[in-house]
Amino acid sequence: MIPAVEVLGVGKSFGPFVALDSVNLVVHQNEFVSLLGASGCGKTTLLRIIAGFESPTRGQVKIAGEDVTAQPPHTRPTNIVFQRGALFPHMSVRKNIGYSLKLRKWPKARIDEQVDRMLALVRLDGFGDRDPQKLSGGQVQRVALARALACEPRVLLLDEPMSALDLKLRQQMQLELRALQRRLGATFIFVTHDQTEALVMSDRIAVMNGGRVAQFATPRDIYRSPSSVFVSDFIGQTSFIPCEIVAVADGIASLRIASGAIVQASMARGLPVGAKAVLSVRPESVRLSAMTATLPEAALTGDIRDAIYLGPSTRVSVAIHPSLLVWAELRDEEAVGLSPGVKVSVSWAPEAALVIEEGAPS
Amino acid sequence: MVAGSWRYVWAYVFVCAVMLYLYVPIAVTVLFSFANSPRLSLPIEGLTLDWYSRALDNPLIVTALRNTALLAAISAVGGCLMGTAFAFGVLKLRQERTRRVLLGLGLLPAVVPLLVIGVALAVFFRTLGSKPGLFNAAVGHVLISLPFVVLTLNARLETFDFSVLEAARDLGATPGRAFLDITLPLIRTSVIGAGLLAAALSLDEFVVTWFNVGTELTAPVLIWGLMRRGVDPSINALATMLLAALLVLILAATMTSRRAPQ
Repeated sequence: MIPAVEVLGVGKSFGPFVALDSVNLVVHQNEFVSLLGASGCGKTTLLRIIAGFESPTRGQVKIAGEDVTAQPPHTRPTNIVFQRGALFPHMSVRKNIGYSLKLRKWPKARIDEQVDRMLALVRLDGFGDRDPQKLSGGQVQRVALARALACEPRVLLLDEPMSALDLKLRQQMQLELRALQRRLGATFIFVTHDQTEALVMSDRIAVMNGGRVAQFATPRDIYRSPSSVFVSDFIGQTSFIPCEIVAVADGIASLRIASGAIVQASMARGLPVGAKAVLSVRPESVRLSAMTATLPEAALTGDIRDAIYLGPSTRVSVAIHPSLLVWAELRDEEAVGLSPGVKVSVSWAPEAALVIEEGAPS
Repeated sequence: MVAGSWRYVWAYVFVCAVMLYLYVPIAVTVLFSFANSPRLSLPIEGLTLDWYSRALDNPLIVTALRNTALLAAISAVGGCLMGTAFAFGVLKLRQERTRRVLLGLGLLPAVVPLLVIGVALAVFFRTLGSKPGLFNAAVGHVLISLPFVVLTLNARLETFDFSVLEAARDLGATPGRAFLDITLPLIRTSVIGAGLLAAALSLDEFVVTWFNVGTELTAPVLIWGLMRRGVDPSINALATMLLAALLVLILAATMTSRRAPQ
């Protein structure tokens, strides 16, 4: 099958500033892809290049196999949902949604029919005659979505469309948007800086950093086997522990950390014994237990610094070395008795922790 | 208590004095344009519209009024087209500093003395070999109105959400279509307001006109000419007509800009 969108070696510079540095990205048809990154990482620039609002300094953009690099936005089979909706303030909701169809010279009756379908799709039946300036933030984004989908684009581009909404509404719309995309069977490319949003909705996530794609993989792979410290740090909360590889067996490495303790973690890439590396471990994988007298010398121990109550869980920080904190996220009953100052032993299943090359490309 | 009310009295007296100073000369002109005595003296014996009908019977005054209306229309249309295009062009510049400098240069003619503009234009036209006349005067009027149009439009465009234009382009509109469907309806009230302001400025423009209009007449130039031969009450009528036209334009400009969508 021809990919929906192919971004081939695309670079973009604004004067001396390099916004995108040779990005390659192939998005399959009917796929929900998120471009995830902090502000300034180039994700919005990439989206605007796909939409046709910026032309790349080098490289090529193909949509459904056709090279569209030189095409202006109005001839491209893509539509975009803007951050703040960008509804036409002087037109009713109905006229907004029907605008692209009017430009395509659809007959009036068919436009009305399609607009009603779109209104139903975003659950705004009966809102057609409203003034867009009198809609709530969530309604504005729904209308913008309906407007962008009305002429059935091959690819829908979404530029942080929910960043202005409050959390509850955002969570609800994330699920709706995902369901909508499944139902329509369309290709969605979604720009966001919110990792949860990306994890919830995407088939695949492209984590971007400094104008490059740091990793492009499924949410599970991104979370479980991040390719670099940057990705691991960006997705979820992670503790990083500098270490040295002392032995490797069956994909499990033994590592010496600054306190002298020996710990274990799985290793995705082969690194030689003696190499410096970084161990990354998610808080939910870390287990803490009160110190008993019978610990082997190489066991990892520490003092509890802080315990933060989060409702369903408690987040505990443990100083395993004067300047080295490990975070653990514990269920309520596990956290009983773990108050600041208590000495604990720290452990994790070797498969739940990951060795990452020190200074891996980010 | 007493001291307090005295202070208020003085405030009232002062405000009244300023108001008299501002409006008495105008009121007198308007009043005498309706007075039935040819001599400008109080008390007024009766009211009449004679001076108006006499003014409108005078072919010179009619020509002058027609030319003035023509120049005002040219200022409104020409000023709006150029000013709007300039404001858009400047706003689209990427470099903040260039933008500020160009905007400043666009507004500068508003504070250059009219005498300087008038003389400079006259010399410029003579170099080009363009004979003084209505055309030269029209160029001058557009020039004078431009900064005010730029100022008005720039204020509107600063709050203009350009993403709606991108949305239109994205949905399939060519640049021209997006301008007609989206930009124009959204900035229309500001453009009309600026146009009315430009017309108002042109209506009573004398200095630049006088240096460039040659033997043609506009209302202010004619009034100046007639005044040299003594005050004919039909001058009062002409001036009052100008004043009325100005008031209507300014009022209309204020009302359109107040109704502008933000």
